Amino acid sequence: MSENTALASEDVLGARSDERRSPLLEVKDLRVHFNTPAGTVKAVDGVNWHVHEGETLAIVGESGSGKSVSAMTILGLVPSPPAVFPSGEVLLKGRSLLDMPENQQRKLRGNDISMIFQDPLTALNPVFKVGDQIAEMVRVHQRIGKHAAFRKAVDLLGEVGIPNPAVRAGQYPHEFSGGMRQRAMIAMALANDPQVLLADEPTTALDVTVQAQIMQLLVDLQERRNTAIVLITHDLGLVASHADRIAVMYAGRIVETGTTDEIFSSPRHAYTHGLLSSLARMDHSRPERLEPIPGQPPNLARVPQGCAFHPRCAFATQECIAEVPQLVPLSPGSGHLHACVHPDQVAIAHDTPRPHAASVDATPSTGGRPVVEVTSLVKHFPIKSGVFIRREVGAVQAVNDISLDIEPGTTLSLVGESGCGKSTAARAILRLHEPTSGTVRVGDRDVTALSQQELRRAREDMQIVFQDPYASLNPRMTVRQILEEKYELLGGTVTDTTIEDLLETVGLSGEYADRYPHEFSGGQRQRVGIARAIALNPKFVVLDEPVSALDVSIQAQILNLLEKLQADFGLTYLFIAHDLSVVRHISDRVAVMYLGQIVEIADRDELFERPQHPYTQALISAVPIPDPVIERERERIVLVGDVPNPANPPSGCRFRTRCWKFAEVLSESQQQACLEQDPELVRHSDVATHKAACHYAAEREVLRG
Amino acid sequence: MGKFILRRAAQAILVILVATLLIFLATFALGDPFASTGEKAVPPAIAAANRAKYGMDHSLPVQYLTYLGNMVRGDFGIDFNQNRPVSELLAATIPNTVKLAVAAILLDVLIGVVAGVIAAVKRYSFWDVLVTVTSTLAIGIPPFVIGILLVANVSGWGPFPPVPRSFTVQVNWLNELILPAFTLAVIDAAFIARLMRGSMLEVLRADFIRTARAKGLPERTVITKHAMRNSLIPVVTYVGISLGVLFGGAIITETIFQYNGVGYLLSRSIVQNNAPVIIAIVVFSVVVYVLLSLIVDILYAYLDPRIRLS
Repeated sequence: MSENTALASEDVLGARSDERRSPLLEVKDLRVHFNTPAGTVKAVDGVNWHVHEGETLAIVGESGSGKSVSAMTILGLVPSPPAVFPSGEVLLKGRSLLDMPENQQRKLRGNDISMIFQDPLTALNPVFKVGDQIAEMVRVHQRIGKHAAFRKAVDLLGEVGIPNPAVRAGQYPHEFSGGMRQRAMIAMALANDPQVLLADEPTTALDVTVQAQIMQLLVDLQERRNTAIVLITHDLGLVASHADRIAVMYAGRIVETGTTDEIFSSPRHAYTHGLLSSLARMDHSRPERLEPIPGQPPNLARVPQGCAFHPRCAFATQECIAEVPQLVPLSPGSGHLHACVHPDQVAIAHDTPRPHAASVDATPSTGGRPVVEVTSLVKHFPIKSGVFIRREVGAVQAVNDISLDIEPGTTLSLVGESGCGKSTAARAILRLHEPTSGTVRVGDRDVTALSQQELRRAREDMQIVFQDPYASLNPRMTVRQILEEKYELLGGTVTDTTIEDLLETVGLSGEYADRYPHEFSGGQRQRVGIARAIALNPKFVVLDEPVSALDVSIQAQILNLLEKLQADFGLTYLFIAHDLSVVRHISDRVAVMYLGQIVEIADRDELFERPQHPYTQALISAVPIPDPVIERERERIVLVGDVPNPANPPSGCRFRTRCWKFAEVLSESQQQACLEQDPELVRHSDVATHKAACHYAAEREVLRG
Repeated sequence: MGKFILRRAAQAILVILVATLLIFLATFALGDPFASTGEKAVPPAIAAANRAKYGMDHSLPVQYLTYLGNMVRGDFGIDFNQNRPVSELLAATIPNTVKLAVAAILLDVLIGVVAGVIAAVKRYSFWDVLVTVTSTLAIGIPPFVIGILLVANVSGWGPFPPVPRSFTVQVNWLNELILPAFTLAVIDAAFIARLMRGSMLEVLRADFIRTARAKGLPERTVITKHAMRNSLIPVVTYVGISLGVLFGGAIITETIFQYNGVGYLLSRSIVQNNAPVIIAIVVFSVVVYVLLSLIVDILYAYLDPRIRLS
């Protein structure tokens, strides 16, 4: 009798825990195919995942892995045709969504499930007021008057941390900064208290400090409302700090899934391992050599036989090609599943320490005469106004008195948020923008004093690689024409093998010379861009965000190439970037810019280990590290607000309006200095090469816990 | 916004000044109508008296200013044919032309926008093919062909007045308007349909349309509210230009239908070498055109708030 009772109660407990564990949203065997003239594109091919209340599931993958399509399918946003859905079920609290009639599905959209998108710039309708767009979302799903809905919109804007919400609600999207637009998108998504929030790369288009603000906001809102979040991203750092569970996608399938700790500490799929080892890490004192995944993600119309990853996989054997591996638990009953034929080999490879990157062996300061010397460089863009006569009424102070030296064969990185003037500075150094004042010397030439003709000749010594490999190559010229033009302009001689040799130097086959840019992938195009820059053996190359438009696995390939070229040809780099992990990997020295000025400059390790300026500290602390164990320990300095208008910078120290030290640490009398004096870039410690522009510069540990 | 309108208004005045100067130079200053040679030459004294009578003994700048001054006061001179003040002729014809232009534009915007939206929303469907083929055809056929066909087959039938016609026979204004308005609307409607289809297709791919759908809005609201307003800008540009041209007189169409508008008046005046009328009409159409483009710019700002700031 007592045994029976015990059994019964166990059953009840079991049932109850089962019920508690039953997922809020479940995707079962989902397939989304697109019929195109080139064949059937299997964007999503048999995917299962689920998410519980209050939980964050991250779906990670490179572009074209099918991660966004699977989320859009849930909302019914994938147009059919061309899409077909050969199989699959989506269950929200047990209700099946996909076979629901359209008008019922529509009632769930924005109400039970809502979505925020990658680009807040284009995701809001430019012709309607922000408040009206949010109110519209409320009114679709609730019986509520126009004015009440608008008031609700104002409340929501306040809740997502937009100052002055009543005024802001009456403004148009173009009057908002990027971070505020994403906040408005989040306010809209949360308007009807959804149970599930699909966040498709919610911070990819934003700066790291703004990313930290937005992610913090999502975490707070999740805690308050117990929302389930599906975070779709390519950023493993973001995942490490914000996801409970992870599903890694490759070529339309999930290849590994488990808790965040399981995935990061013991990946069992070769692709997951590859992604982790191709990632530059900001917290490693001696950067490891990046191990890029060779090749590129497959065309989804022609997915390789068997395991789709096998052509890029170091462990691939005949078994991998024979059939598509299915997800299997790592141990019986485990929630950690992988679809790899060689999990043990992956485990061994993952536990083997990687060799250090070549770049660390070079000493940052060789004492040699700098190749590039920039002194007091200023670039202002005039603002004109007036009805009949256009007078100059002010200037956008894009670059305001910066000085820096770069020693031969080394890399100086210029980092900062968008709008800090780093790209303008680089262009002014090359005189692509005419500097307002200041001097630039490259090699033996004073670049700023050259006539237009001399400047053209001087360009053989100074070259640039642009950010966007798609827009920076002329689509109507073959690679050969693009490269030969360089020699024609700058007077080099082209022999029969010049172009082929050049292409092979940057890791492309010489046979590609007569192809057009559209026939290449993003990474290959960037290689062409690099080939164009190094064609005439320049001394100095500006790299303007050369990897930020590329997938993680391709980034590593390009970074390794840049390091190799530097070692082989003794190139001197000015590396412009916003990604601090990449900067830590590639630089010898780092200069941090804020609102047109350098606020801190130091050798790489010195800067990352012992940052002195509060802005540098905030910047480093905002970058997520792809390691959940470290992330749990770290403290994040979340900066308030946005970068001020460079046409009208704050008095005294330009950073004070967002400075955590100014707001939280300094006394009123101490603040006086910040308000009145623009701090100079000077030494604050016994390291001679480390300078910071802060009245109260002091070290603070922000990298680790 | 006030500054913007002020600047555009200043530009408009400049354009009008330049236009009148060019017309003045082309007609008054080149050649002397009273100069003559040969046996029957007008005696110099009489020629001089004639010049004095028409104010031509003054210097060119003075003549130009007089001409401008008269024009501002609404005095365009006396026409050579009927000896009536030109302003009277204009007053009789401008309202008709305005009616015709407005009717044609309303018709073509209505047909064009609806057809363009349907073609874009139902891309590659039967309706899209129908719109695309019909609009290509309509653009390909010159307007006078449609006009002549209508005059030959429809005019004089039912409520439509016959052509050639007599202005002494009173006709309801709507009845005489319909056929020329339709003729004018066909081509414009075709252009607008194509513009609308193209810009609508582009807007439908925009992220904010996806956002609108993700909100759970009915597809009808997504199209009419979110997509249409964003797609209208190229259409507004085209309608502005087209209206400017029509207000200056649809010469061919008005002439074919013998419609008593500015265009028909202009074509008759050209045949009769009636300079004062020609000048007046040209100046009128320049002014109207400039004003309309100002209105179009203001409409842009209404449609797209991003334009308001800059």
